[in-house]
This record gives sequence, structure tokens and C-alpha cells, in this order.
Amino acid sequence: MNVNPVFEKEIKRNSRSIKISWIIFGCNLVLGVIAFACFFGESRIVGYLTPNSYSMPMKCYVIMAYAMFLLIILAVPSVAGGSIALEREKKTLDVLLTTNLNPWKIITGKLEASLGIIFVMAISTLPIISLIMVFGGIEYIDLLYLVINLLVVGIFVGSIGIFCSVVCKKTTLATVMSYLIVLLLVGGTIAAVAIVYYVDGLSLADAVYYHHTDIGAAIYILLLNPFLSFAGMICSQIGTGHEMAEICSLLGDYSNNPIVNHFPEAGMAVQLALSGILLFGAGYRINPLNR
Amino acid sequence: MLKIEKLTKKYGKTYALSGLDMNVLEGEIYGFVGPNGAGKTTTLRIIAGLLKSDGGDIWINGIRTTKNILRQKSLIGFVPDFFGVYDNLKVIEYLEFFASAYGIYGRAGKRRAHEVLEMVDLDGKENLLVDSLSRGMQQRLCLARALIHEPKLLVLDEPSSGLDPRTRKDFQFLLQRLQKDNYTILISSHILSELSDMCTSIGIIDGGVMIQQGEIDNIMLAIDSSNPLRITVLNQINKAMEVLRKDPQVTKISVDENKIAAWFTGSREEEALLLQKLIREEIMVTSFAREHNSLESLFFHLTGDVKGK
Repeated sequence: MNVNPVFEKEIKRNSRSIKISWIIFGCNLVLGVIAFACFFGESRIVGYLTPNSYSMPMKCYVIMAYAMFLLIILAVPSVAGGSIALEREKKTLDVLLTTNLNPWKIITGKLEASLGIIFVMAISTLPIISLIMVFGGIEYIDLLYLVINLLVVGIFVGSIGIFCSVVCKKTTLATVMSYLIVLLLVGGTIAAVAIVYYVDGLSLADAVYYHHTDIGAAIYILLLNPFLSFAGMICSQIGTGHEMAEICSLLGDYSNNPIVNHFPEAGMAVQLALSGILLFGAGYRINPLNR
Repeated sequence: MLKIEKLTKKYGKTYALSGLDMNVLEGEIYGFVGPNGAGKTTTLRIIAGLLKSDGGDIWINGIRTTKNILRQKSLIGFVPDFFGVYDNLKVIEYLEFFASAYGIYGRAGKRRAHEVLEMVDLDGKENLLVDSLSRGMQQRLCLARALIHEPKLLVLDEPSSGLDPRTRKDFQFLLQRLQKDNYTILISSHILSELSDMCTSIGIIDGGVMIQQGEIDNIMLAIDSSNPLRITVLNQINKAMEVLRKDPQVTKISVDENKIAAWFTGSREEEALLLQKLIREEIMVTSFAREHNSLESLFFHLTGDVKGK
């Protein structure tokens, strides 16, 4: 099977790009500092690392996982946001569109290249992440689940970046717009649910009988939030696995709701579906025959 | 090689092309000229598959490609007016990328990349970064890129803009060499002197319609025939005037010292006979030639006519 030419070209260019080197350096530096702080902190308190220090690698894993999530959220839009807009700015998009590559292949090639950076980041951080395996507590399957979740986050954020890159003519605007949308999804969805919860609470203030606040279907807005599905996954790995359902139960009665009960999986599915729609839209937009 | 019939394109309510016809024969360099906003770039972008036409038909190499855009793209090598290059990519990688974009992968792609580099005199530059090349070299690389999939027709939109005269001349020779290699080239340019030097045919577009097209020599000849014969004599200017007046095909004469301008409607052979007549009368003719038009004057003449109408 032949590799997508756009992906291959982008990987070659990225391998020589200083920006990507900085991203990988930054990622390893952050994780390295976290690992050092956790291990050094623990050994300073006890004087040495005991075989029973299970909580330390667990804490270290959680901090590292969130750090990687944050790095992906920050790095991918800056790469994906410029993918098509930069081609347009550099006047290379027209030439690309005159080849036999269809717009869909161009778009997926760009996304693969963005994910390629995550892949390189993940591989390069393996030695640091493997430190947490020394004392046990984290299974390989947990790591695999973490990688899958981070990949979904990458695809989702990358799709947003590529869509913005197609819609906006300038790279800077596309990148800023990508970050704003990601911020809106992470913070805005929580704010929206909080507003619904508050309004619902106000309407119940005068009620004669006690009634539990129920935001109903508004809870599904949270499925768009990549942070919450990621946090739900981490909770399921280090806690009871019902933390997200318990939080959601404060907002309404969802005890028999399979979507809420499987919040991380449902969130990832929704985000993947939305990514598909965004990529399809981007492919449609760059097709010159649709203009 | 390329046949366009009644091509139309509308932007909003404005017609950019209103029934354009074009015929480019195999192996020719066809110069496509017209004033700004005449519809040149729109036409070339439709041919390259970068724009959808609103009507009309395109045939390339005998294949109706109007409804088969992928086939159209594989038959055409397009060089746009403003071309960009990728940074952090070597010349050979750039060409290999485009080869794979046309479905030529691996060794076949590498081999073809080397072939086209040789064709555009860039062999030896394989490992240089594309953005480190001079503008002239980038232009040649862009041409190499357009040749990578062995297209039947090369479409070049203002390829010489921004190039210095020497690089322009080199590029012109390169195109002529490609023509000898049996490539058909459709080129749009504002540098008319350059086009008249290398093109075998021209098409002049104005207001979205083709106002004149055909072999450049025939068009020039047709236009030239309305120009006067410029005759310079050393002696017997009156006798020369008498000979000219007697000729029924001479419609008007004007004299300036020993230089005569005679408006003559006859063919090239009849021109020769007229010269013979003058010499037989022992008139010492030092020059006898039809005043020639340049492509520029033809361009102004034709586009001016359309504006006038």
C-alpha cells in the first residue's frame, strides 16, 4: 500500500522544521521535570524509594497524562491550523489541486502529518513514561487506553485546526481560531452546562415540593469536551470508574443512561464523529469544483 | 490537442467567459493574449481543473474531459502565474512528491524526477533545498514539476513574470526545446515580443470571447496586407510614381523625399511583379518591403477594435 504523498511530504518537511524540534523538546522537558519532581520529592520525604511507594508512580502517571493532554491541545492546533492556510499563502495549494490527489486525500494527509507529530512525541517520551512502570500500579492496557484517548484528542483538535485552516485565508487567523474553538469546547461547554444548571435552579426556587435539579439533555453538550472525556478515562483508571457518572448525577437523574454511564467512550465517539464531519467539510471546501 | 467550444463562466452576474472557442494543435506553442480582465486566467484555470465552467466543452487529445476532471488533470501540466515552493524540502523530494501525487511511486518516481531535472537543466541540483534556489531555477523546477507525469499539454500562465531578461530568454529556449520534443504548449503572457518570438499560433481574447486565433504568420500576413509598401528609390522618383499609379492594385500613394508609401492590395507574388516592373523601367530601387506589424500593434489593433464596438 502506498503512503499518502501529502503525509510523506509533510513528515519530511517536519523532520527538518525547528518548530517540531521545539515541540518534542518541550514535551520531553515537561514530562522529564514532572518525573524528576515526583521521584525526587518522594525520595526526599522518605529518604529513599520504598517498594510500597505505589501512590507516587500513580500520581506521576496522572500528572504526566494531563501534561500530555495539554501539550497535544497546545501543539496540534499550531500545526494543523497552518496546514492548508499556509499552502494557500505560499501559493502551493493550486498546484496541489491540479494533481490527481483528491481533496479528501490532501486533507487526510495533513491530518496524518499532525498526528505523526503526536506519534513522534509519544515515542520520544516512552523512556520517561516507562519510569512509572517500575513500581507497578499501571497496567500496559492502561497505557494503551491512554494512547488511544490522546489519539482521539489529537484527531479532534487536528480536525478543528484543518477546518479552520480551510475556512481562514491566513495562517495566523486559522491558528487563533483553532485555539479559540478548542478553548470554547473545553471551557465553554462546562460554562454552558453551568448556566443551564443555574437557570434550572432558579426556576425551582419557588417550587413547593423539593425537586432535584435536572438539566436533562443539556448534559450531552459535555460530550463535546475533550478534557472531560479524557479526565473520565483517567478517573476510570485510577479510581472506581464511576466518577464521571457521579458528577453527572449532581446535574440530573442519569442512573439508567448508558451514554452518561460510559461517558469517556461516548465522548470519544462523538468527538470522532464530529472530526469526520469537519474533515468532510474541509475536503468539500477546498475542492475547486465546488466553488 | 486542445479544443474548447463555447466555454462560459460567470462570477455573480458578470460573464468572465461568454462562449470562448479555442483550438490548439498538437506540437505547437500557442500564445494566449488579452488585456487584463479579458478572461485569460479564468480560461487557464478551467483547463487546469481549478475552476468549474458554467457551460461549454473541453476536449484534450480527443477526449471530452468536461465531465472527467481526473482525466483532464492527468493530461495537463499546469504552471500558475504565482508559484510557491515548499521550505525544508529538497529538489528531488519535491519532484518525487509530485510524482507520487500522480501515482508514480518509488523508483519509477525517482527515475522520472531525474529525467525532468535533466530536461530543465537542473541536473546536479537534486539535493539543494527548493527554497534556496534562485527565482529562475524555481521557475524551471516548477516546469519540471509540470512535466513529471508526462502530460500531453503544458499550460503556463504568465510564466515569465518576475524573471530578468536573460532568465526569460533561457526559459523561452527551454520551451522551444520542449516543443521540439513534441510537447504542446499553451502559454499566456503579457510580454508580447517574447510570444511573437516563440509561438507558432496565437489566440487573442477580449471580453471573454476569442477575437482572433490561428497561426501567427498567417495572422500577421493578413494584418500586414493593410500596411503600405515602403519603397526607396535613388533616381526617377516621378517615373516610379507613374508606374505605381498605373497599377490597378495600388490604391493610394504618398511621397516623402525619395521614399514612397504605396497601399497595394495584391498578393506576395504580385508584390514581386510590381518590383520587377520598377526595375525594368530602370528605376534604382534600394528598398522594397511591406511594413510589418508587431504582435503588440496587432494586439492593440484588435483589442482596440472590440472596445470601439
